[in-house]
Amino acid sequence: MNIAELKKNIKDKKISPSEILDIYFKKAYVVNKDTNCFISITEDYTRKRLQNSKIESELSFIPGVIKDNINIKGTITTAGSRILENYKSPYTATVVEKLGNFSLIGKGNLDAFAFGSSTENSGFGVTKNPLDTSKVPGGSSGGVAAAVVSGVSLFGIGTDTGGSVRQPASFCGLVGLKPTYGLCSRFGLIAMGSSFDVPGIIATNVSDTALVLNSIAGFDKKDSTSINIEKKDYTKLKDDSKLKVGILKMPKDGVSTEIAKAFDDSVKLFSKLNIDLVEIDFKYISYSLAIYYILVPAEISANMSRYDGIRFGFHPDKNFESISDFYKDARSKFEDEVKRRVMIGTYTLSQGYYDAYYNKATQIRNLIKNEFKEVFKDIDFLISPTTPTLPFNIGEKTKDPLSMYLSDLFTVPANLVGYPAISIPNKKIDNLYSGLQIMGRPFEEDRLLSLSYLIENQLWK
Amino acid sequence: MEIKVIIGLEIHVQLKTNTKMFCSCSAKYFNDSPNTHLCPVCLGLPGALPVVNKKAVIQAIKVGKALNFNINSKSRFDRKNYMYPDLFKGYQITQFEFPIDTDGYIVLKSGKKINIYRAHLEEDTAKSLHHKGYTLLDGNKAGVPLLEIVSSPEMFSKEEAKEYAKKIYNVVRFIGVSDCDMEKGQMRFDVNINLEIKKEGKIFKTPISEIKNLNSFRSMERAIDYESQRQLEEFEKKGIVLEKGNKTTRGWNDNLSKTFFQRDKEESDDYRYFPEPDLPPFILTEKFIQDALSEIDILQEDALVSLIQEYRISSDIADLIVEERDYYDFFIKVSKSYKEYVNLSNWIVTEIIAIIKEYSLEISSCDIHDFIKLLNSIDEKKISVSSGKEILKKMMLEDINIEKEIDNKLIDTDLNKIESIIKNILESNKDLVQKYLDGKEGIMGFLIGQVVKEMKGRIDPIEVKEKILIELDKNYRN
Repeated sequence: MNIAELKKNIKDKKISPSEILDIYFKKAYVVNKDTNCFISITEDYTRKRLQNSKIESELSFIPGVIKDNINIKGTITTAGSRILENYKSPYTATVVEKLGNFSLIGKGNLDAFAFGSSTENSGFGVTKNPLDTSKVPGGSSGGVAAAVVSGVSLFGIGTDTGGSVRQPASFCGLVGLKPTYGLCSRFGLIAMGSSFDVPGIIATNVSDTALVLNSIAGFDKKDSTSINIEKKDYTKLKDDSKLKVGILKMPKDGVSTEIAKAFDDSVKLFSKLNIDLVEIDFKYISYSLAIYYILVPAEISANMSRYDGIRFGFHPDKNFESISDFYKDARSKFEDEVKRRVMIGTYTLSQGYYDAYYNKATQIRNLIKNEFKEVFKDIDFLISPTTPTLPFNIGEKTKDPLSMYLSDLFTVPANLVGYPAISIPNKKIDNLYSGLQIMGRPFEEDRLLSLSYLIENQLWK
Repeated sequence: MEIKVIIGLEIHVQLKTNTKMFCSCSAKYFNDSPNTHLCPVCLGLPGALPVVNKKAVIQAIKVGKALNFNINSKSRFDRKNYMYPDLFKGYQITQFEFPIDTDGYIVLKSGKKINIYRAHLEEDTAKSLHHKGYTLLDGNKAGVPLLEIVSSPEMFSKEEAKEYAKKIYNVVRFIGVSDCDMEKGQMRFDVNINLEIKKEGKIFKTPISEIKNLNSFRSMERAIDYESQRQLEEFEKKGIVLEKGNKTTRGWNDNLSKTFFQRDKEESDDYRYFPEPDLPPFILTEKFIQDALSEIDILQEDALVSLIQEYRISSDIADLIVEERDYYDFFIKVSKSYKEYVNLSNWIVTEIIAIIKEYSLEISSCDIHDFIKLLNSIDEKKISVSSGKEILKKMMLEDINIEKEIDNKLIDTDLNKIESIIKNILESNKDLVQKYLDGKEGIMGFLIGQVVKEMKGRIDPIEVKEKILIELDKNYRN
């Protein structure tokens, strides 16, 4: 079932909104037991909210899952961290407002504050990959991907700071779109790396992704980084002729043979479609991960400061000698990965290190931005694998943060430069999914989705 | 031994805007119940994002002009990271590298130029209310727009520091950018101070202290006095001189009239500034700047010059009139129909302002039309000056009918009556008259007063004096 089909059934009164809720919530409890994809299942909230509701938007009554770092008034929004275990947001994120009266099935599990690539770092337990429960679903939007691939929701909204939508989509055989930075409002997304974060879409196919993008895209005056551009209809296919597609030159290390093979197959497919291909060897892209893990923790270190134990989190019920003793106690309760990144970021911004780390990384980020601008003068799209490996085992990388960070190898550049990128599923390898990533020019999601639609159909022929 | 005190001032001014710096909460919180001016943005709730208040930017541009700054077309906000309960986000959004205003100056009366490094926009913090064993927070103030004006350390006495601060206060108030009401915390001073000591042909500099959060001119002056003395004593006792990293932060205890140690630089925060990712760098177009500047109709110094040159008012009096924008506006309004400018300025400064201060009024209590009628009646000698003063006071304090009041005080021109009253008064005060004739001139005032009283004020005391002198010559002097 895709969104269009369900919409038609609702319109034709073949299924009533309350039947949808009955079916999907029933399924949600079952799937959640097996996979732990939800932090909360929002049955009471949604039934109450949709009472007497009518078809009024593109996604009316369509079941969806929202990553739990996106605020929805009336639900608990934990960001996957015990620090916000009971946090009831008094307001709703713009992208969720824009979805209208969809059926919120639940809030998806995630790595605490979206710091991670496997949904193992959640304060609310590990989410399992529904396709193979010994594997991770990817992350940090792993709960959303798991819910969508299990059929508990037809779409999900996640957040993508370095691949957190595309990588789990790829691990779960789904489509994951990271829109251009500034196309969709960040207002109400619990910030991780503010200059990298975007809300993203996970769905089972490209058409549904386009439909959801139609709803959530658009300028928001509450987000000063959102851009006021003319509204597009992303469901309309663009007939692009004479496309030129760049193939990212594969790094020497880090890419598994299965992935390299799958990618080769996709490249062949493009040739078959008579699309001009050119290999692109970026000069600075190899620095992407390194500077990402300087700049993002820097922004994180500031974004995490508000969780000081006074208004959020564990307010220790005892007296302290000084305010810094209080902070030490309250903030020791953060999840390990959160502590790790706050400390890295604090360090790289400190006097004496700022120039060597933060400043240098910003300079390289600008070099990469300029390089992308140059390269994209010549090509329309850039393709690469979404991830360097197939889904890994639960527990495989938790002791080795660096190898976990490498999962973002191909996804991070799009966040560094703000470009849109999509992951569409390759055919299964050894019963596991991988993804093909296509990156487009800023604000050309319409063209990106049109090409993806074409490829999606070819890939699965 | 020669001692020079070196002072630099950081002045925080709360800007007059309807809403806070980065959200739409009302910025007018004074006396409101605690925590009633809050929203997800200024409370720093997860996921909330700041949006720059355009009015605050306009106000900063106006200050730029008034204090001779370069108004930068490219500007940016940064995050200043430090944790304290009154700072809800754990960082303050401020301007570090690219403030709106840079390289300004003002000129003191002596002609000395004081350079001002910069003026930048930032957000105010919440208010901490410390109690025994616990602290309460009031977030109404959190996020209120502040302009921080940072001088170069070029003031070499508390008098210069005060004049500089007063000038900033006046200039900023005059263009309506802030009320600078210090009792409401709308203007606060941080004083950076150290000493340069010449001793046995050598120059020593004492370590710099930054005295935080002084909230009146008086406490600023007292803090400078105390701190200069303290630094001198410390230098004589310990001989410690200025080095990189030995700046200290001190507070001011107004009750004890003492500064007290808060922290030294070693343990003070490294603010880890970095560009605010939620607010893209912004460009102020020439048009935007011009539109902002067009909100300034006149600067204080231009107003002063015009009073002196166009209206021919003495500079002392003009200074007092431009001290408050309201006074100046009042002068200009009245001057449209009353052309005796010097007389007008004297009335404003010696009478109206005195009444305002005595009764804590606003100048709006003085009705312009009634005031003009009053001045005309005096000039036309319909009523005496002293009657005029009486009516003015009554007019500002009560609701009166000006015509009626003037009628009641019309000068009595019945010469026979005046002369006979004078005769009677002098006769019944023969002793005093004799004393006057013997040289006690002060008695004249009393005699005049008696006559004026008898005439129910409806006479000009100067005329009374003339007539008394004539009567004395005629009947009392031999």
